[in-house]
Amino acid sequence: MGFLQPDPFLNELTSMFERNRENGSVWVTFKRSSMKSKVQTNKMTTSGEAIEYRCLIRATDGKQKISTTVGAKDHQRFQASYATLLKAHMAALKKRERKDKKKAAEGDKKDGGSKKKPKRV
Amino acid sequence: MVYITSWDEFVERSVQLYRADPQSTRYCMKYRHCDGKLVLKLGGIWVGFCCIAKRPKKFVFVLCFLRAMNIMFTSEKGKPRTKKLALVITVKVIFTLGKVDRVLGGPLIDLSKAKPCACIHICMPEATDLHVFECLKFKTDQAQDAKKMEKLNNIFFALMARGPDVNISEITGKEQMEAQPGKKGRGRKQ
Repeated sequence: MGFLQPDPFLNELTSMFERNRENGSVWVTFKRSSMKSKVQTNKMTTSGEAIEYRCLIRATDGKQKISTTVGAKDHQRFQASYATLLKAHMAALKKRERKDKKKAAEGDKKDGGSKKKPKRV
Repeated sequence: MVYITSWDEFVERSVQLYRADPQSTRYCMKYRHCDGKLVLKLGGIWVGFCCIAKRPKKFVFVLCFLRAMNIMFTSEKGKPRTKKLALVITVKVIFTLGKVDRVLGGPLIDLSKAKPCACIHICMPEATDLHVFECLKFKTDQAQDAKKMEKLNNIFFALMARGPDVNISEITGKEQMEAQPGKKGRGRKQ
């Protein structure tokens, strides 16, 4: 796949997460980059030109590699979509607090505790 | 590589590490749905060093080592050599952060231009205040940490896209502002 625009990158990342649900890992890496070669960046720094840096985002599942860049102007929109994507796919992590509360509630009921915990809506 | 147990400490140190070297620091996330595990890593391929002035013998040792590194990192034409030569070093000395341009009349060394050699691990047994910042790691299987990670993602997006001088409190402050208006409109108007 290689280098993509931000929106197709997010679509590919979604399918990567879905493909690796049963087995496998997904790695996502962020790095600051000027997207130019070292020679060019050195030339630009010596001549005093302003270098535009972008955030390079790479993702892989061990088999397929995809990447995209995000600049200073469009990073907020990307980060919001990225956050929703992660929330949707990182469902396998343990939800500890609710289990503790449930156990505590069950424990109170068994003991015949008078305290009633109000339901949170 | 260090696994950090405290989330707040991980965030603070990772931002510090990034700001120390924004060009080479990478923020990586690994997620395994089958195991329900999440690992965050802040990788810096950057090694700093300092002089140990108290012990003259060891100081000389460091000096010789730095000279060797300088020879190693630059060929006769001044171009950086390959990574393979760095693996030859077997003696151990831990470096600390800092820039040393001249070591008591020794050669001029600019490690920032040297090619990254992650295999250089050098430890001196009795050395004090020496650290190697290569990598910070945080692992978890808790959903609450994934929520905290979202904030860290936003912090790094801003730091990397806009620059290392961005004020982090602005980013977290904006998130709170965005979260609050969503609650308005429910229930009775007061």
